[in-house]
Amino acid sequence: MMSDMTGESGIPGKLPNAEATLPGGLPEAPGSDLQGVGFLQGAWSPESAVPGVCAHGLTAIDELRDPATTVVRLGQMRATLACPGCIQAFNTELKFRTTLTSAAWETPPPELSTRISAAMESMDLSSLDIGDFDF
Amino acid sequence: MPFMGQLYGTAVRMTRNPADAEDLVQETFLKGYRAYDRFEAGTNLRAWMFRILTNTYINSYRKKQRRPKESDLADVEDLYLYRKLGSGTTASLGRSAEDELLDSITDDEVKTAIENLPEQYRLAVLLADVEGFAYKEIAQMLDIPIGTVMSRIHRGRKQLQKALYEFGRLRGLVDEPDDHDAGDGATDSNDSSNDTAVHDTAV
Repeated sequence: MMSDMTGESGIPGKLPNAEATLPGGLPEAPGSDLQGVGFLQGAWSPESAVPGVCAHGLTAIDELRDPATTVVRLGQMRATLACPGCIQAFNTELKFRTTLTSAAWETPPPELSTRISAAMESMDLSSLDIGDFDF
Repeated sequence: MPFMGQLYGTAVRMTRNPADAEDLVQETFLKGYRAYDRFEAGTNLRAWMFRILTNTYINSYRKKQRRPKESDLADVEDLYLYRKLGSGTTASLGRSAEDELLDSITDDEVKTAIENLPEQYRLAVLLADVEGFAYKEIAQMLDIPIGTVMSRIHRGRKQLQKALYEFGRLRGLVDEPDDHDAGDGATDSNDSSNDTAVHDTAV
């Protein structure tokens, strides 16, 4: 247990394996026997500068914020977190993102489709300037 | 019509006006139809349509409107909600204070918070967090470097979290005295002053 606490880095208070990464770039999960000993896991460190969140937690949160991250990957990352602060911060960011996504939805007025279809049929589309998206 | 709902939702948040949003979506479809021969089969049609929407908005609609101020955001600390509420739980339900707050915030408040963001941040946040486009796709749509995209999204999100927190505070959902805001970067303060407020509440 004691050797786990210091981790491979040998630095007390630093997350074991915090610097090691899996092929996918995600740091390895900390040992499960470290649950609930946040102060030993680098719950706050100058490198993270977020109270209660260690460097590993910040890495996971960064990946969570990447829109390209899949739901499966989110679950994998969540499972690697051991510090209570990291888990809470991760969950908060996830909840925030979900809140944004669900709240910003708008239902288009039903007549909009009809209006666009009619415009497609009646307009001389060659007169439309499409030079502004030359890609 | 494909992606109509998604395009319209983003258009409303871009233009902040349903009538302009309808016109913007219509123009997007017409241009897409007109230029369909330029679309490369096998690539992302949705991203292509959103790029037309974004370009049309930037080049046409924005000029018609009173141009929004290209202002910068006052800095807000990262993980704002967690820092402000991270130590709290709702005793009755055992839920986190952040969950409680975000569940209580209405959709209209979220929309208002998004629409109040300066434009460069608003577009980036909409395309990333609402529409789920990858940083690279957003960079192509907005014709800016990926690093700039990430920076805008990051700063926009922080500002949104602060705005939602303020909604909660004004409605009494958050139990915190007003004078706490003195150091949270609301206007001119800097990062170092922010840290003072952070340690008071989140440790």
